[in-house]
Amino acid sequence: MATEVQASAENGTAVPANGDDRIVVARKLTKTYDSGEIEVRALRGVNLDVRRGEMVAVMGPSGCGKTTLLNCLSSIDDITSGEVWIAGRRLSTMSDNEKTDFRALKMGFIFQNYNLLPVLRSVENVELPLLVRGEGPKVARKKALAILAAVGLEDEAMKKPAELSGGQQQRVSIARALVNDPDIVFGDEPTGNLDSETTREVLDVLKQLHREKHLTFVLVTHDANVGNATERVLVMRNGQILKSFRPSGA
Amino acid sequence: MAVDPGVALLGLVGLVVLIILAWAGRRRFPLRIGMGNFFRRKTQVAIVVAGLLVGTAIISSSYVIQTTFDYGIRSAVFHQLDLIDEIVILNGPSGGRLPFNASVYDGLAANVKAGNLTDVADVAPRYQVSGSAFDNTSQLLEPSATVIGFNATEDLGTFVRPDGSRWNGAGLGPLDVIVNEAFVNDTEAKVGDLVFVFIGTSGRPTPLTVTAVVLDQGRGAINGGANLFVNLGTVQAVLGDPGKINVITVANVGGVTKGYLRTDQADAQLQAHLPASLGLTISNVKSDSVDQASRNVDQISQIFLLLGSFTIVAGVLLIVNIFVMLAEERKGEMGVARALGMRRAHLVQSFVAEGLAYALLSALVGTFTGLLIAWVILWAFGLVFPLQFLGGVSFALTWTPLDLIRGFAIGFLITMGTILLASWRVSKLNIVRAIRDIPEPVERRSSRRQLALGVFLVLGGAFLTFEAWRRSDVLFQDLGPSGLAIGLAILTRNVVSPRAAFSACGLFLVGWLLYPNKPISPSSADIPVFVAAGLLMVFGAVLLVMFNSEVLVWVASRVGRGRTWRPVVRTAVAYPMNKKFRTGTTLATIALIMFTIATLSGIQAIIGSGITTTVVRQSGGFDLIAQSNPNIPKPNFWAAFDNASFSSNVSEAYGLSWANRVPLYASSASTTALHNSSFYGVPQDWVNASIPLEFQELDANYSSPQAAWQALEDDPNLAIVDGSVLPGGIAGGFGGQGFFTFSVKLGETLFYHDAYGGNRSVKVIGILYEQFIPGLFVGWNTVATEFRVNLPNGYSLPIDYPSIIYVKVKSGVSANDVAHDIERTFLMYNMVVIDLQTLVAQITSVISGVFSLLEAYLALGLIVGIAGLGIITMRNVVERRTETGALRALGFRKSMVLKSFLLELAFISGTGIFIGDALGIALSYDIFLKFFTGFGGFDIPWDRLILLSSLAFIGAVVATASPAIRAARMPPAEALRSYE
Repeated sequence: MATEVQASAENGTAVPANGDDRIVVARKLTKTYDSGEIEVRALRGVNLDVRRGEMVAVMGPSGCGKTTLLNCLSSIDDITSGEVWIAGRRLSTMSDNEKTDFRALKMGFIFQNYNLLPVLRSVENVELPLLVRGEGPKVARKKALAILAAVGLEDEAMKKPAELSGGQQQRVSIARALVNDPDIVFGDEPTGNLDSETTREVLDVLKQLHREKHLTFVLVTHDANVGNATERVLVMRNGQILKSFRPSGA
Repeated sequence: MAVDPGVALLGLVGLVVLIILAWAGRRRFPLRIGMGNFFRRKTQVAIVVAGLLVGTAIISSSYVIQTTFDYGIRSAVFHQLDLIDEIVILNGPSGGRLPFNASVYDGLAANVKAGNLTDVADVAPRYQVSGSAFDNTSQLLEPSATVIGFNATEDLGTFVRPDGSRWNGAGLGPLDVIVNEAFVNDTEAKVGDLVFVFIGTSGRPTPLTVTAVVLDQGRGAINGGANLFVNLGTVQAVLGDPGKINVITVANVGGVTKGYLRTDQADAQLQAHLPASLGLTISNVKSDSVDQASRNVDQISQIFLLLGSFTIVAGVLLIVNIFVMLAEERKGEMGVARALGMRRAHLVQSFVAEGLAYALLSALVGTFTGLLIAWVILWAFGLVFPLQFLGGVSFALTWTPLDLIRGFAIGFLITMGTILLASWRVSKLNIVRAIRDIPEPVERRSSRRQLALGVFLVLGGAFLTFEAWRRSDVLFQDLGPSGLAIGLAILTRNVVSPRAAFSACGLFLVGWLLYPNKPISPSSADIPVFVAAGLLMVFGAVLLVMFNSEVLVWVASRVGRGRTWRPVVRTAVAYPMNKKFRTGTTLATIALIMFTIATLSGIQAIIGSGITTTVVRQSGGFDLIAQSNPNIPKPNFWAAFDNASFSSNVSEAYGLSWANRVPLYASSASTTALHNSSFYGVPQDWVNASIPLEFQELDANYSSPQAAWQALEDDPNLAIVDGSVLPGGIAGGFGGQGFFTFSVKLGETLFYHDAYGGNRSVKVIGILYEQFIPGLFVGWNTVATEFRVNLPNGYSLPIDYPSIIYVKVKSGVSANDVAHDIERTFLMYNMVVIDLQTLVAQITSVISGVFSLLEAYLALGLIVGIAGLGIITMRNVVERRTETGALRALGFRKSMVLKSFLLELAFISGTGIFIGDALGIALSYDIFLKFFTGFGGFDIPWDRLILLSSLAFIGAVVATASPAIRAARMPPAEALRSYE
């Protein structure tokens, strides 16, 4: 188990403490890809705070490090240096299995390509995180159907991804991300593969969930519409956060 | 000039290569794409080639085995017969050789010298008889020796002394004998030893002194057994046939290895110069032996090739699977290529070019792998069969370039043909779906091609079913209804549902092919029927599994508990069941191989059980059967038996008297004997035997076997005969020289003459299983009063003494030791004892060895299955990389990813092994019901099956786990980032 960290401030490095409403804290975060011949510094000392219940968009040009930042924050990629706390837990002190279990319990993911398992039905895809957490099959099925209904897909529960439209697949993906009541949902270009109409539908779903469940969202996007739908936009360039602002629609 | 088929096939290979290159023509880019793809992934190429080469290796090895056996057996024939190509003999009415006047030889030799027989190089006289010989120094007996009377200066060829020098036998005295190595090995005889030789019917031993030991080469190798060479005059004197011989050996022009090629001409010339009135027969011993050897060799190599055909079919499935997967992998780039203007033919071209490289490489490597496999098989063959079992023939790897050319050409053409078909199939793609990686839609309606195939199969199946009924053809009986069922399933798949149609079809195939009471008896079924039935059954079982995958997923996801188990099982089973074609062909590949192995194991168990049962039935449960020379009277035999040291180890012993070589006739007026048989006098206490010999058939007038045996004592006109008179049986002919040559029915009357010339007859009231002692069992008094033995002093005695002893030893006593004691005690009667348990162990060991060898050969096919699984796993890992990343993000630990892949591998290999084992056991039970119910019980060889299945399972999973381990170790972000 990673140790709970105490609230303090050292040399400009904020460390979350109990009662702190920050769910994501990143300090001096760097990530370097070394292929042997070429060294790519994808993140160059990123500092970031996200409050619980906040909906944040990370935007910037291709190759600026948005997805890398998301991967490092969500523990699916290792950081080169710096520290990340998620819900008060320091990732660098956790083993691979602990991080995996932490993701299963605390995080939800939405991917640009949906990444649904094509061989499973919609409901089976959604209940998979619950089964991973150790829920019984009946309970998992009940919860999965309920969350599918919440995203308007109760009639598509028994269909496989190939039988659904892109928007429907992304809504299944959202349902899968939310079914385990996560503290935070990470989205990597959640509307990247969708047309404008479907993008609006998906954003409506995300906003509704954010509003009703006070979920924290960190969304990486190119889409200004997505940025406008969030409460804060972080703009990245060359592996650093260039600026942070509240969009006009917030 | 006839072209060897191998060369013609090689020409065809060249033509195919030229056509593919010419097809590329001016447009080289499909060829370049194909070759580029071939060299893209070296590991994949290695696995694909490993899978593809097995078929070629099987074919190549069968040709090499054929050549080796052919060469080995021909060499053995040449070795044993040396210069002898034909023999001239006079056949007796009972099949034995009769002596004839040596003047026949003189006339023939004069004609040869005069050059009247242009194809005959030389002739020689011999008097050659079977007998036994006893070495007085070592006190060891050779019960079945050949005693050859020869003329040193006239006999063909020479002896070879241990120092390698050649000798024609000159200087041999009338009481001298030359012995060969085989005799020395059995009796430890050496130069100077006194040897007692028993020949003829007098029973009188002839004392001879060993003057030379010769190698089993040249003259010494004749018949491949223990030989004693004496002066012609000595044999004539002992047998009372002065001036007579019984064989003229003939050597053709051409020497040891080429002379037999002139047999037809020599035969005609010999016929023209033999006195027609004598009825002499020319036996073409060498050419007949060579022909028989060739036929036997053909059969052996056919068995290997036909059993290997399962592996070849598995290899074909693997090729199809590989190319379908390669096409799936390149679906996107193929779609783009098509969108950019590449024609469908170009796609086929690029696949064919890639396939050409695979086919050439795998056929080349496979050909030489076949050579290695043949070497291993021949090595194992040598372990299974002791040298004496094969008449001293050992098989050294022998091959010709043509063997390899044939293997290479056939392997290449099968691989290339399959690749052509697979390439044509995979080139059919929808451009948009390919580019956007959208799965192919589920077809709701049958295409015209499917309908045509369905109609063709229905009509073809109906025709074959009709032909099966008309011609009583076992193969068509399997193929016809099966074709009909598959055709109907294709036609009705959209009327009912694919699941219902193909499940019913699969059930029917398995049920019909295993149904034991089909209208046409499978007694004539041979290996092609087994191959066809096996392929169809496996196809049926795979259909059943694949079209009921939902049930399997449901069951699997509910098996086991635990936090990580359910999601792992769900993904592990869902993936293979979603890729039906890929999984189905891999399942079929593994199932086919395991099916053949399981079936052979089942048959092996049945035969093992059958041999034990048969031996118990034939021996009556006795441990030993002792045979002695029936022509030697044995006064006070039982007193000597009871006083012997071994008697305390014997719990039961019964002695039968024996009158041998009694001609049997169909009627009292007949002068031509049906058969020379033996009469055994059954002692009065025989009915008290604790385990009497069992009957196959018993006259209904006798309420029990005991009543029948008792009746023999009471009525001299009754007889019980041994089982060799009835055809069939799996271990028949142990002692049955009458096997298939003489048959008798229950109630039939046989006629014979007694020692006094009187006409006698016996009615057959029972037929035993017994075959160790072939002949007629009658009352003791019948033999004692009707037959006599001629003594050397000119007197004769009634046969009122035992010559065959059935012995049961006490519990815990070594039967083998008692057998040796009996042989030593009754050496003067030439007593030879058969230890039945040792005999059974030897037979079982050889049969077990043969089956193990065949199973090992078939297990080569597992390489195909493992290669198939390996390719699937590699593909799966690449294909599911981002999905694996997503699973890791969702909370799948590394170990869960690994478990999921391994479980998937285990699921496919386990299901394939289960299908193969289940069908193999079912078919062997079917074979048991059809052929072996009377020969013992049916035991599933669990130990063997579990061992082989575990090896196959562990081998498949371990050998293919590497890509799964790599997938599990991949960081989730990297997996999510990767695109093919």
